[in-house]
Amino acid sequence: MTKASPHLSLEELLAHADGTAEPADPHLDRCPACRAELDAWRAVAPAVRDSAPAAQPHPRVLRGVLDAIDGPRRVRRRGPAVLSWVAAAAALVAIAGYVLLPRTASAPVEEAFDAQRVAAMGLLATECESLQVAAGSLRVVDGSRLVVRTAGGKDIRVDVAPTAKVTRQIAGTVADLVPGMSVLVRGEGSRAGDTLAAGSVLVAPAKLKPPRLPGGMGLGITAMLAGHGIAMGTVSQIRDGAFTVTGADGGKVKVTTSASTTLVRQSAARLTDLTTGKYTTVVGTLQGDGTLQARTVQQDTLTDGDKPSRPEGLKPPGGLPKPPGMKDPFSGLGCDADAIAGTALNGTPI
Amino acid sequence: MTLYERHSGVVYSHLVLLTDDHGLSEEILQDTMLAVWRGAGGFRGDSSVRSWIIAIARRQCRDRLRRRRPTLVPQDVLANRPAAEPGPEEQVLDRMAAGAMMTAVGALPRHHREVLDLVFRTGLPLAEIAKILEIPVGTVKSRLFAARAALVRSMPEGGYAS
Repeated sequence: MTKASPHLSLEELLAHADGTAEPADPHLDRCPACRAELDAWRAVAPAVRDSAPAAQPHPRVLRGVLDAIDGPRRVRRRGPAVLSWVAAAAALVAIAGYVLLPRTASAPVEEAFDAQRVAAMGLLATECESLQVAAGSLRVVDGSRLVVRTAGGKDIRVDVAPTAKVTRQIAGTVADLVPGMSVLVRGEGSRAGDTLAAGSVLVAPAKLKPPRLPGGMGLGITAMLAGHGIAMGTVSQIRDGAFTVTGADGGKVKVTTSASTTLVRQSAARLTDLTTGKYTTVVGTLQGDGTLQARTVQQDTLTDGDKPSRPEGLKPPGGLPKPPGMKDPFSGLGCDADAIAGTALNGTPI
Repeated sequence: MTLYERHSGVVYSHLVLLTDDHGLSEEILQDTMLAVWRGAGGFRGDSSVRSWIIAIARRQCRDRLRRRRPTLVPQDVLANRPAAEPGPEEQVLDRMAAGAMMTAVGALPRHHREVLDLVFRTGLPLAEIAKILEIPVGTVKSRLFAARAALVRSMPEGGYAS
């Protein structure tokens, strides 16, 4: 169906059936035809997913890949490989160091129209067509409406339905940590990347995932990141203010804290709890009237202004090749609004 | 590791759907991720990473299966889009029990199952699914409707067992 048609397009119906489109389109309330179509797809969607439950490949597959990468080509590839890992680590630091990279002009052609509109409004596109991101300084809170001003000076109007998820960071102490929590720790890392003196600890609401890498295989990336002052992963072995962080590649970093170590965690909030002037990210669906219908709102209570701060000591790499996919910080997050909002808030996929 | 973690499950599930063989799917996934690793520089950024990997996996799968079974090209089935008012098809789908529906999905021909899988499991937009399947977007849509219609036809007692 074309845009001129009042009915929902197939793509919109599928997004609704898949649960990735929210809120309900008012057209659905008054159009029995579209509602019937939607019901038909809603009957199909779970059956498809359940007919072959998501299977995870055996760990031997990953081992096989890593062996093949590391194996016969090791001697020949060592030089360039080391260089590329240095580039990768530097790129990771750039991402973890709060660098947000909006989608560039090389977006797919079929998305060009919407992408242009989204970019012109100061919104960031995601790989989920129905989700856009507003990130910037919270200017106005008025009932269920917000205004977010982006770093580029664009004001974005946001509508927050009662069902939207609103969180903000609140201060805690290291004593709040319990085993199993996902954290992002910043501080001074040892050269070997096995220990880290924490300056700040961020408790993530979801499992932390480090940014993607060229080719995707993060060998020793936890130690490499720790060497750059960052530890991302799961907390264990908490004792006397020290704890261990285990990264996605299984690497472990011993983290020590001091009286000056800060800890923040994301906590459920009401809109009236949000503070104007603070860095806020909204993930939602762009409406025809130019408002963003929010699914998730997250506020960084520690940072003022229109963009997140970059931790001291972290500088983006200069002159190094960017790994593929880096231009899109939300790549691989699909339609997970919380993960996208967290990525925009922290500059790191969480 | 992330890219592997994020995409391997979906790619693996899709490969199992294509091959009906977990062992073979693991082999193909391994080849795919290795190809992704070696070919990362060839990623053009004109599609999402996920559809890029799925496209590589499907090529690897096709190469493997071609060696095993010479003919595997599914015949394209086109169907007209049903009328946009609540017709018998919608009513049938409404009445279907979830379990019967799952069984019916499993019994669909492969080209129907794979388009449903790509839409409802990978969450990719139709345009990217069209690239992966190397067919026009219009064909993706008609194949989707055909798959849905086939589901209804395959239901016992015409789906009215309520």
